[in-house]
Amino acid sequence: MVKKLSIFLVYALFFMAAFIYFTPKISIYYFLEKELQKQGVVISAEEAVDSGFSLQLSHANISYKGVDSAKVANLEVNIFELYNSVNVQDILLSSAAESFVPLRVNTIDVSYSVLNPLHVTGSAQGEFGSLEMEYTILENLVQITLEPSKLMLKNYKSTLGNLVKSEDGGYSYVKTF
Amino acid sequence: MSKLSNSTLLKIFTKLLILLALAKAISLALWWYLPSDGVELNIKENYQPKYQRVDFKNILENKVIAVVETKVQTTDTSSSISITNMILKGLYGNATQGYAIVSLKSNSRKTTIIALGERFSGYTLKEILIDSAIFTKGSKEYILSLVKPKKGKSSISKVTRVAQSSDAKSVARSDIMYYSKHPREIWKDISITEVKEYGKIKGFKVIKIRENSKFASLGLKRGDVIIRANNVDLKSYRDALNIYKNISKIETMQIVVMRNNQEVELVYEIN
Repeated sequence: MVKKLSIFLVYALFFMAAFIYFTPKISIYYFLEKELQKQGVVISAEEAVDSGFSLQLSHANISYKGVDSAKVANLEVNIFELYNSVNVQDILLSSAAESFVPLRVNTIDVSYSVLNPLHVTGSAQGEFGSLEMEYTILENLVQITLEPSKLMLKNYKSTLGNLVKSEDGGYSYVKTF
Repeated sequence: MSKLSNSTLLKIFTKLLILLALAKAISLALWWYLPSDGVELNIKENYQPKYQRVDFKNILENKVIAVVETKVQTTDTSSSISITNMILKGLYGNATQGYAIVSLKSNSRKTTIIALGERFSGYTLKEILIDSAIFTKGSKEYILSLVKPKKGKSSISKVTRVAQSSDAKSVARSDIMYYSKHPREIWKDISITEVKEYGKIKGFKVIKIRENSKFASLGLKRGDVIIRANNVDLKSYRDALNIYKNISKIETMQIVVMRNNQEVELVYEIN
């Protein structure tokens, strides 16, 4: 019985690996782009490369409601079904956001794992400091904990004023959709 | 052969091959139904201000009827509208830049403002002189002149505006450049939020304005809803940001705000 189960698992894993490899990732990305467009988000001028088990995007311009919002140097999407992640590197926000946040974000990592099926977790680092994010799927709830940098504390007090200050010096933001 | 077909290795290999084919078939089906191209941001950029201020006082002081003189030839056989049917109502500018206000004799109340290089009824405005304008059509040139009308007659009707208007205020370009380089300073003096109607942005409301600030001196008041700038309806953040981005290229700024359910036009000359 155990042997049969093991063999089944091996075959299942092989099938999943083959399916991930053959999946038309760029077409799926185009589909997601069209879905994002309905929310006002457009990713343009990007180069998309299907590298077997992941999708690489580079030099993407992101706009929200027609306004140029950010430029992304590299974005990698890994869909392994049991573990999925999006890693974004070198993000430069539009100068229009300069009055609210520092413009350079070094990395954003978002992941979803079957080991934690009801949550999507993420983190980001940049000139603003660092933050941890968790999205609870069933409650449609986003919780963000921010550790602001000195620059953020010095020049962006009005933005921090919109967040709740915690006892340990961090800031938190909670929103339900 | 029989031994080979019964070997475990071949069975495993066959199963793997079937799984591989199945995975490929599903991915092909997916590929068939998914879109083959992505989304690109495709918005026409317009860096030219859509608003040009014309000094209507000059026009009203020079009530005129056009008289046509031809430099080369007086008729144009290729056009159904002869230049003799055109009236030159006003001029603004010089030889290299400016605008002419023209209309047709058949409907003199309907005026059109054309810039140098633009066409009206097939005639291209080539040059603006002191009291006339040179038009071209084909290889021919035509002069359309301003002539004072007979007393008591005027082809110009009173200029009417839907909105209330105020005299143009002067704004220092240095102030604008300061704010464009230090956008954070803007939000210390003024707070603006979007106003939506049926889910669409119809303008931007001034919810706070600091007394004695530059913005207050411009005539903006708390509660004003800015609906238009340089004849561009502000229906998105992009519309507003386009004005902001190109502010250094703009010489005249017109803002229309809703104030007490009335449209109020504010005009600024940037110098």
